[in-house]
Amino acid sequence: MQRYIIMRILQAILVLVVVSVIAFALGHAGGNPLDAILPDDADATVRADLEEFWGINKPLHEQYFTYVWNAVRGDFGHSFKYPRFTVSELIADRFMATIQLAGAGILVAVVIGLPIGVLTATYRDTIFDWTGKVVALLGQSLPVFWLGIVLMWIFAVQLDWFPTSGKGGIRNLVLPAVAIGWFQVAAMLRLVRSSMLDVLDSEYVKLARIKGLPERKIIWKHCLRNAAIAPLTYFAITLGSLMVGSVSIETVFQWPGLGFLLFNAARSSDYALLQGIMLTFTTIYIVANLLVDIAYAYLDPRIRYN
Amino acid sequence: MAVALPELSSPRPPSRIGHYAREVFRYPVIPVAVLVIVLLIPALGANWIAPYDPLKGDMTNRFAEPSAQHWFGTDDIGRDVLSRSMHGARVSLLVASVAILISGIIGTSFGIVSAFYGGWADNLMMRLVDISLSLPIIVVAIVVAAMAGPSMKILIAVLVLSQWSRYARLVRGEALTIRAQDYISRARVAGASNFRIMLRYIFPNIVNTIVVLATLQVGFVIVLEATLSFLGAGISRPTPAWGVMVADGRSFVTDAWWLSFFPGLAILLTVLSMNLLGDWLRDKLDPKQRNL
Repeated sequence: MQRYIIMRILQAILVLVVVSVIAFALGHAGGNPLDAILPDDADATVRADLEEFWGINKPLHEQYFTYVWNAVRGDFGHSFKYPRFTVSELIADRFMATIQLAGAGILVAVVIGLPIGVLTATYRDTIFDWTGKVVALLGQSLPVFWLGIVLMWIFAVQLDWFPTSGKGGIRNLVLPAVAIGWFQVAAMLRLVRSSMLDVLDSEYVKLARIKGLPERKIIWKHCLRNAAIAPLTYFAITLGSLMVGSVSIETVFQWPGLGFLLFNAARSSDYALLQGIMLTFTTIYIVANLLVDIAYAYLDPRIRYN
Repeated sequence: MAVALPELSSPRPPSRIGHYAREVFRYPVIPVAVLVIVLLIPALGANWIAPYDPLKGDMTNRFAEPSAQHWFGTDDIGRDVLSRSMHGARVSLLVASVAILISGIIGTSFGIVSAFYGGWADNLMMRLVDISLSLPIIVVAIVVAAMAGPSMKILIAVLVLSQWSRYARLVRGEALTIRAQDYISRARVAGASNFRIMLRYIFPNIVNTIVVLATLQVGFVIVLEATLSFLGAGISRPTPAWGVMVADGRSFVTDAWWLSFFPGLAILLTVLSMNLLGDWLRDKLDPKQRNL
């Protein structure tokens, strides 16, 4: 187990190194970033000052090591677009909004996916089961950004129940949370369904039935309590990939999180900010995947000895 | 597992409608029909069947609601949304098929070679696969497109980067089992070269698996392409692509719902049918992979 964890951590570090090289290389592949932001007739001394300020006049490998060393300490340099802020400040400012959205997405997945999952497992081959199948299928096939726009049109434009975009009270959170949680609803449903089916077969459920407990109590209390452990563990950890997935939803709803910041940084060619967000997202994503793998290895010995 | 026993006393003769319904569900007739109508015919015939020029606007007829002249309405510069959606099918089909073909070729060769030689080469190659699988691809794509400028080539490259490893991993697993079979050692005794063994003895046995995975990936790749185009990291304007059209419609959602709705619906129908078709193919060709 220890060996497996160490190997996985080393591998995660390797991926981070690769991504940092990509991030760094891309910042230079596009040519001198100053060409993009300075006017053509910019003063040479201004140019030199800016090059000094951003450190783009040093040799490449030196720039890379400085970059990584700074990045490890949480310093991604200054944004090109908003020179008065550091990239870290901008990221920190938006971080909580993305966490909030991802958390709300998980909540949606649990509130909708869990009961439907239980119903599909309990009443197999009935209307519930079919509904569950349709939901699961749509979860895989719906492009989330389009779902976001359709929800916005129905519930914000036509019915006027929720605001169309932006951040504010809890009402602003509902539509983006449903849109981002949709895919997870399908995942939740499948996980709960399969673990419920296992549990429904077990001895203690038979015992509960023999004891004469009402079916409702057996399903929602005895079974669900055991069947929900695996899906919930999984969900606590998918927060990471949900955050990365939030890019398109945040863009649709102009939710001021990391994803929307990334989108805007890309439009304004803000390389420093782009690199910073890319590294932040990748780190979250890789750490989340690492935790999932370790959790599964812990639960399933076959994985760690393979 | 319970075995369904044949009913000895059938309560009533099967109805004609029930018979047709069962036939329809036995083969994926509906998904295939939807794919032909939404994806194939528009993609191949857009030049002939599209009622209007997808790029030419009519400023006197902006934001026209869906009507007999413009079934899907017109957009902010008076272009016909139906014609643009038809041409969008072409982009989706082209990008998805090229990306899947290239990833399939790279991934399959990679997987077979990795399984065949084993040892440190296998180890190294699988670490590469792991790295590729753990990249947050949307983020990478946005950054790449921002730095190099969005284009179809870069879009396809990014899609390949995210997809090839799925084939490599699956193919390697299959090839490992096949490599241990007797007929491989016999081929070797008979003097077959390594290359010949990989191409003529291992590859034909994993074709089904690859076809199934490729079909299941089409939908995923189309959504990914549309998402990237939506985020400005894919197809660039004014080329009509479904993702771009949904993105352009977003700003006008209060006044002109049809701009985003129809291209998005096309994505949904295509992907849904592709997934259903993939599930069906998997059950037919490759029952082992049911939990894929």
